[in-house]
Amino acid sequence: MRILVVVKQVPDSRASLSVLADGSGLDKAGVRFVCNPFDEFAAEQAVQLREKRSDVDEIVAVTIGPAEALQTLRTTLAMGADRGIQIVVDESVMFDELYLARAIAAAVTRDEQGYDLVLCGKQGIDNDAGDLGPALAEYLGLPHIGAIVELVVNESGDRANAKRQIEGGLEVVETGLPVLLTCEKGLVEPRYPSLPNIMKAKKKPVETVDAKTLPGMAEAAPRATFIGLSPPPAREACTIIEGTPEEMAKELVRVLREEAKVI
Amino acid sequence: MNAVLMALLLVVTLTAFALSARKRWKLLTIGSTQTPIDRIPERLRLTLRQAIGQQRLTRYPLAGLAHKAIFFGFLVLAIRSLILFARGFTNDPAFGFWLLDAGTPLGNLYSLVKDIYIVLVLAGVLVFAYIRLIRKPARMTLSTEGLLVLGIIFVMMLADILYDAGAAVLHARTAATATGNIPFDIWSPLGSLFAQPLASLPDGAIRTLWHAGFWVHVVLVLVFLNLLPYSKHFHVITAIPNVFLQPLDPPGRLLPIEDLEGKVEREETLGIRRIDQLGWKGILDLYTCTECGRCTDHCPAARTGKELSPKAITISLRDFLYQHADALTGAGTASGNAATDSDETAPALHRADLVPAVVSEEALWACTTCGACEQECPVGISYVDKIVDMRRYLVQEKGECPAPLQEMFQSVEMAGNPYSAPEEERMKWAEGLDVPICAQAGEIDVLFWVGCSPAIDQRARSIARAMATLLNTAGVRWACLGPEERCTGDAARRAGNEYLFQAMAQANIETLDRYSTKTIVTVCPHCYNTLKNEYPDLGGHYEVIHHADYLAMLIAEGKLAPRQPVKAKVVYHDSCYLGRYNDIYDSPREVLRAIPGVELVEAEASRDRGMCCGAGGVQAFKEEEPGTDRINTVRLKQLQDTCAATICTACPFCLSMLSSAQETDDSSSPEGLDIAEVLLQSIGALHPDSN
Amino acid sequence: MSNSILVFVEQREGTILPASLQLFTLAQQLATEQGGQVCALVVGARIGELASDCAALGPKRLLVADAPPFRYYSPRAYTQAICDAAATVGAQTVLLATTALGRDVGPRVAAKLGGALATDCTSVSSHNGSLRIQRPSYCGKCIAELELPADGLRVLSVRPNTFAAPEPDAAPAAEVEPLAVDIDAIGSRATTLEVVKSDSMHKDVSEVDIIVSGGRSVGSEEDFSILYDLAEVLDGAVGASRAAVDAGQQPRDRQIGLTGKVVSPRLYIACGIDGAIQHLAGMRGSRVIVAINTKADAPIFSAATYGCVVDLFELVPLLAAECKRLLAADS
Repeated sequence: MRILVVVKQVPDSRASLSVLADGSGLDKAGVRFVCNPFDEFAAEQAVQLREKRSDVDEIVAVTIGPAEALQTLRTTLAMGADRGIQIVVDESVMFDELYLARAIAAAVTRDEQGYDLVLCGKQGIDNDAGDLGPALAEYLGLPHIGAIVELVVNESGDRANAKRQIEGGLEVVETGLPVLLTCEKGLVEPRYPSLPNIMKAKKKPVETVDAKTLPGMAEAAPRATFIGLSPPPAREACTIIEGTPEEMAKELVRVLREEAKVI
Repeated sequence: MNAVLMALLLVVTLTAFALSARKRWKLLTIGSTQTPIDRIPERLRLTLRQAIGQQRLTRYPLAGLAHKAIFFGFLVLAIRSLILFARGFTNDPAFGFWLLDAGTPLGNLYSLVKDIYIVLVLAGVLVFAYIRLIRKPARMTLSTEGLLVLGIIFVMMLADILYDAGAAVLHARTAATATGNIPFDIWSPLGSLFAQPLASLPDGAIRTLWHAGFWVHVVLVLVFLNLLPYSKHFHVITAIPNVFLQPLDPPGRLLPIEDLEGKVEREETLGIRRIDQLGWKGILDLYTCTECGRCTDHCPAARTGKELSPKAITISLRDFLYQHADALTGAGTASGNAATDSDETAPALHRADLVPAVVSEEALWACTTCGACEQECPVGISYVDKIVDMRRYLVQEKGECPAPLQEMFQSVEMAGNPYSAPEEERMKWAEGLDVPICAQAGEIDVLFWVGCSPAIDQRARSIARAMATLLNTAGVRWACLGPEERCTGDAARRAGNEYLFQAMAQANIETLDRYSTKTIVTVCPHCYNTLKNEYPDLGGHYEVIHHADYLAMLIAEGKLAPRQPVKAKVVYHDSCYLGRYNDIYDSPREVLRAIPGVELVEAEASRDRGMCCGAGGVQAFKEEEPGTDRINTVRLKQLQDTCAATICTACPFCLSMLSSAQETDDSSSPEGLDIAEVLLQSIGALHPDSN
Repeated sequence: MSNSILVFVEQREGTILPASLQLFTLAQQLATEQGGQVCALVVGARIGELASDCAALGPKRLLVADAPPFRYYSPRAYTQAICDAAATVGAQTVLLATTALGRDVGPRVAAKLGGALATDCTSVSSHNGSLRIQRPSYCGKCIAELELPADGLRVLSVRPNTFAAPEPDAAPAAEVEPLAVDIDAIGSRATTLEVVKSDSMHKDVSEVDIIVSGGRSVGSEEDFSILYDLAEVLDGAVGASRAAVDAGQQPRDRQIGLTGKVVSPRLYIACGIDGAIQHLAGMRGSRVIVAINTKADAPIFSAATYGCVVDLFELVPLLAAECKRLLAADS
């Protein structure tokens, strides 16, 4: 069994982010970058599969992004992946996950062996979109199961059972392999890479490839154009809602729905 | 007496003992690490105080006195035993290596002292028997071995009396002025006293008794000697060396793992994984444990029903060590070096991972590193370093730790604080105050190291605000690092993540050195301990002052004048990292006493016996291990028992733990305040938060 | 010319989602600005009655893919249905609601048809034939603006409640057109076996979008029931502070905070929680935080987006009722 893990570098969720004055992007000064937490679930799931079964031949980690994303790839290798593929793209295309998925598909299909399992995070906490996984499945011609919280691969390694989180319940999905899975919080607890593994990861092979040189990618361009980034309406101090309890309830529900759009 | 018998006896028993000792010596040397033996005069003073002075033992008065009696009795009687061994070879019943020959002035004096100590030893044995048989304290292992040894000592003493009594009778009968009466000999009170009832016996019987007393004493001494290496009484031999060799560092200082990356590169173990990695001092610790249980008696984790018991850790490690002694020493000779890590092919029992084979993870993660165990241990056994070393292996090599700690590690690494707080939170404590930042300040005398908790924790921010106001009031030229300050790495280090600690320390040292920092004041004992005792190992040398000391100094110099009365009955809770770790007990109390109106009371457990709040050793960042109670609620109860209206602390973590104990406690609890907050009330400067 | 706007209408158990109805407002707006007709697609099994609800929202064409395999969501089958429908009506723009399904199927459709994609839009406007959209990114810390081109297919998923649903029209314009999808050709090997409903009693705090959390002042395990009621209405889970867990009011696995679980839901409602540092560290990442507490100076208010200084026992039941009323009105 061969497993592909897709990881992406994102700003640390604890970092306070600010936008460059001209709106052309994120002010990266002082911002620390980490492996997308959902992608860590994917990496952990892959490593756990290898620990539990004897038929996992290889775990390959692929990342796409600017050159600095190598750091994230190393983290994944430290968690237990065997080798890495780093696809270098210009930062300006990072918001078009369809384009990223195409590039990843182009990179991994160069290898004729193919993968039995492709594991991605449910979404990147940079774009908050979650487009990459399903789009990659489409480009690879694979079925996919999104946002899984439980995974069982059968003994012979040709079928899998997954539970996915949907509104109001859990969907139980059965699938044949190969398949692409996107991983949701709750699937596994990512490990803290041990120091020897971090050191070993520095020596694992990584192929670095420019997206433009991949088959079919020379002419490809993002379909969506990035216009700019703006800070959200300032999150001012807590808005205190006054009135009788009845009025409070009404007003609170109204603002949650109309201003915050969360219910 | 009988030279042949004596010689035979000595040869047999001493050979047996030599063989045992050789075994133990070999086992001792499997320890891979070397502890430097330096600062000899200091070590001698310490040994005098702790071993000869029995300073630690008398913390338990009854047992301490009894032990003192037996200990000094042994010293005195050791000479007696040597004399008796010698008398075995001569026919001179008065032989005492000439100097102490019976009848000589010195010999007489010694004889009297010896008799006094026989009485004291007998009394000591009876006290110990009472403790073991009647009082039965939970801390102790009430083994038959203990009673057997008490019995041996008791009989040994009686045999000695019998020997003297027999001699006294025989002497009286052979003396030129024999009257049949046995005079009371002031220099041998016991012998002459116990001779009286024997007076009527015939010569032959007396001679037999006299011989019996001699041989029983001599044989028991030699039997006892041979028992030592196999029992907890090994401490009779190892305790003094163990005390002499104990680390002289401040108790709060953990030793760094040198060349961390190189060690990984060479696949050497980080921390302690197996028994042979304890180091020879660690093994000597195991030899020396007397199973007295004082450590566990004062361990906050053990007292609240956690799986951790320091004594149990030592005993399980020792039993494991003895059980696999042959394999351990054998392996040492076979492969030349038992400590290499490369030989993973044959996992033998003696090479088992100590966690979980000997120490459970639950016990390991329950330690608050409060140091109470080490403070109590009469024979200088260390615990915190071993526990942290075992954590180091788990965290760094296996990546295993309680789940919340992973989050904490990542937060420290990424956000520079353990609270997952965004970086802009760090200076919010200073809003509305005049707080100079190093980057903008001119020359300063003091750098105020705020610490993550006072910078970020809503409650603790008030401590930082109070301290800043006090510094301004006192006219101190100070500044803080502001956004450049990052977690010292204390929590990560105590959790075993040495790598992260060293990274944090290096980053902070770089920042501090950039501002040519000389003097640092901090309100957090954890930051204090790390900056003061641990940063020097990584190249950061500063004068570090805790705010308790600093405020006491400002008051003494008249720069702060507490005038307004603060009418309150106050109990001060000692922080472990301040008190036991750094011996700061008085200055926080001085600050409180300087405030008019404050009535300072003491909890029953205070100063070096103060109980931990439950935060240290990374406990504040994880769930407490399962037990019967929470440490903070037990400590709060102790403080509430003083009926104080205010609990004063000098540590933001103590304050936070005790406050959160109050949340779960319905009774109207005393108010918790930091000493800086109380002082500020009295200074009369407007409290920054009072409007 | 293919410039239709295709609205994918999501239904769950025979009820159209309010978020899907809201899409018709946007569709109408785009039709006005950029031309083209509004078409709709409903996919499901035995959903005949739904068609009339949909027709009332004014699509010019209404496609219904009604077949047993559509009973449960299947990415490939649904992708196929949407792509077929887009071809049938000559769609240039496909609109979906940002639901679990919308997020899942949108990228496949866009990838399959070689289109442009924007997920979770909170604002859409026309710009010389192209579309300018705004979408939150970086955990809501920034808003990204993108342009989808005037030519070629565009797939948009729109965050629920961004638009108000249009008033239903009494005189429907469209006839129902059955859409035959060749599902066998897909040969999908993934099949949904069942959907297990979960209620607020069983939901895990780390896996939900909405958390209703209680502090020790809730009082007892029984008193927590009002929190469960609110969570049930909002399809969320119940969390608790350490003090509440220590007091035995809630099981340990519901504890939120530094020493429990670290969560970052869309909405976090803290009831009677003062907000000790340990707790704040565990939920600071939530997008919207509501604090309900009688103590106006409680630290939780400094972290909250909205605050109500009131007894939770008074407000929480009213809140549950109000949400219930509103959500019932939606459907």
